[in-house]
Amino acid sequence: MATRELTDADLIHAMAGRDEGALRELYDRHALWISARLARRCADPDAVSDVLQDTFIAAWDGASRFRGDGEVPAWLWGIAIRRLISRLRKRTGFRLGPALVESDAQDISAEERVLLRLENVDVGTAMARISPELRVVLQLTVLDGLNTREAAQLLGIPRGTVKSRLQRARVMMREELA
Amino acid sequence: MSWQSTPTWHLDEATLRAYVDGRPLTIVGASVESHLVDCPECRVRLGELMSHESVDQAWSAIRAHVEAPRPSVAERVLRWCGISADSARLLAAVPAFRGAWLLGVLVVTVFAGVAALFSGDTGLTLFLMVAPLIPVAGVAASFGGDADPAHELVTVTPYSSLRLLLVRTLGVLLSSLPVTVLVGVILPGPIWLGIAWLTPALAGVTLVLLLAPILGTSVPAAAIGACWSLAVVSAARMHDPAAVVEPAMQLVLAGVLVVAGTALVLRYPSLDHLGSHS
Repeated sequence: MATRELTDADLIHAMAGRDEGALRELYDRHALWISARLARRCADPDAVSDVLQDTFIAAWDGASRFRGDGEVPAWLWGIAIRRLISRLRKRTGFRLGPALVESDAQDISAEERVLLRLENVDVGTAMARISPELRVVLQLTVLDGLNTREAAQLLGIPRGTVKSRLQRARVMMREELA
Repeated sequence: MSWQSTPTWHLDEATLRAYVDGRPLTIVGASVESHLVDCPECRVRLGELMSHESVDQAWSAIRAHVEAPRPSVAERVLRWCGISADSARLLAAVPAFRGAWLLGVLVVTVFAGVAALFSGDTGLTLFLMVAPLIPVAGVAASFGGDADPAHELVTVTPYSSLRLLLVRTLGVLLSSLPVTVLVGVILPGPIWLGIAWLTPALAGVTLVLLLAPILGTSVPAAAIGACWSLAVVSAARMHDPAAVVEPAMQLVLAGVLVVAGTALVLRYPSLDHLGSHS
């Protein structure tokens, strides 16, 4: 089977029919970037590896429930981030990855400025200006698509704190974009 | 794929490398991530910058999950009842626990029960002859090497042989007793007749297990079957087949059960050789 020609959605449908070759191809296409993205949220390599396994096992077991209306990368990431949360919930003392550490360093390089301009410059610079703890909450809810309860679990802070930070972040973003 | 909204621009290598190293700020990282979700090309280029080692390791665990056989229905029911995974696998692998055996038990028992309902003493003779021998035959089949696909596995498994024995015997009894008890209870005549055959059944099972290390399981089971059939037929000749399960006989059989059971527990270390004779 010429798997290279198939779309991701075709692969998922083949997986629903228990085609292991399709799973392998899907893994080759997506495991690396999902692993990199997880590593930015969790500094424990073993946990990242476990979550990666769980994600593709869940994709295999749940392939028949995939509705063809969404993009496969977003679907896979949705599984991965939730697996990460449920894993982190079980244990304490884990280290958050660099993307979730509320760093104050604001030196954006020239290349990064170019990138920000390419990708929706206004929102990008506005986000760069708001405070780090607000930005992290905004990133998890808006970009990772988590709800406030899930974001609270991932960051290990109360849900109410996430909600109030999100509220403040929205106000600040509105002011920055006005 | 060309109709899809694949971005017309791409991430440069420095940005991708910084992303892998966890360096760019949250906001730029987020920007990279939303681009990666949409852009297969940049995903491939990102992968080229990464070590594949941990991802390859994770794959072997995924493949193990995918290729593992799904537990059979019986096994999942046992697991659901709180039985450990190991014991569930052992129980489910007991030949007497399989569909063909269960069907055979059902057919024989129902046949004997129906015969007893419609033809009086002759049918009762048949039922009394068959009912106690079903568990005996089940145990014999479960520990005979020829009938057990897991036999080689069992003989080399470092698992308490007494525990294995009890687990598998329990499996046989659970799979054959309920139907037989049910048929026995709906038979005409006193209610105790329906369960009176349990004593000879258990005595027979214990005897087979006791003799198995010396004679294998088939020979004792056949001998017990012959003796029991002879006893039932003789009783029927004397106009009352139920005589073989009357109180006096019950006492004798219970005595056999107790003696054989005690001997079995005392010499269970030799049960390691169970089934090696058949």
